[in-house]
Amino acid sequence: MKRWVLIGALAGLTGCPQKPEPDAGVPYAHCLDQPGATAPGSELPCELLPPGFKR
Amino acid sequence: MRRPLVVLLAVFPLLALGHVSVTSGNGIANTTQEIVLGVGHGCEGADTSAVSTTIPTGVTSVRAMPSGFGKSTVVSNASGVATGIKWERSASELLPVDTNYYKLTMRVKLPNTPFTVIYFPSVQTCTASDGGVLTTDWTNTTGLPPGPNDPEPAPAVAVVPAHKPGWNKFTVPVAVENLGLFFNDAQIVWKGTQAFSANATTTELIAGTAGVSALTALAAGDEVWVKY
Repeated sequence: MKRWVLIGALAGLTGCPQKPEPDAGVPYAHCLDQPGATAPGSELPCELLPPGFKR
Repeated sequence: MRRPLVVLLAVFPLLALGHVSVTSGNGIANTTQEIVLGVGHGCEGADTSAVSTTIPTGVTSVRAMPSGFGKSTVVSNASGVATGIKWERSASELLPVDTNYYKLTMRVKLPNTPFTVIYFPSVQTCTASDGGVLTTDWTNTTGLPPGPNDPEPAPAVAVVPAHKPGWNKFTVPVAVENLGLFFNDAQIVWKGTQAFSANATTTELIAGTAGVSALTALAAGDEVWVKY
């Protein structure tokens, strides 16, 4: 038990990477998390957005 | 002379297709390739007996490919530069009625002039079963629908840059007003946050995507991303 508490504490100190929040200033957010994912509804799918496209 | 049925699409104008037209699609700039002329019909019910095509200036390395149509001959000027190709059939090969479709192929190198249209003016000769000879001039290079007294549209090739499947980046050397003509086989074309597609479904998606507007024309010097 003490071993796992120590490991958990160390993980918190080193800052495990967190999933980024969607941000309108970065390349199409949903395309970052799931390559090949399609856009919702009537929007262009990710694979048809050009390299570096930002909203 | 019977005027062929020519359908011009108002939204995405294409090169008019007539009895003699290019069927091999867009040409690739500065590249040797096969250009195919399709002969869809004869003349007023008479079978096609010959087609003479002018090779425009700038088109080089001209070779005619043999075909089932008949003999093909490259015509050259005094300097040895190919100026035309003639395909012709002997009288014994002629059909009594106009039932066949013919493909005439030439292998040429197109000039390095992307986003231009190259015309191959051609004269079609037909011979009827009674020996009567008819000709149709497919020599109109205006790019506009012919008037009642104008020759028919010349076979034409829309020239595009060499490209590979996937994303390609081009700097357009000349203004392009007719995106559908040059990008009819591209999935999508982007200039900044403007996009164009010859696919009607993709066009709807462009309209429905936030921050994106329709791309309708290009100016010389514009940089575009094109996905094939």
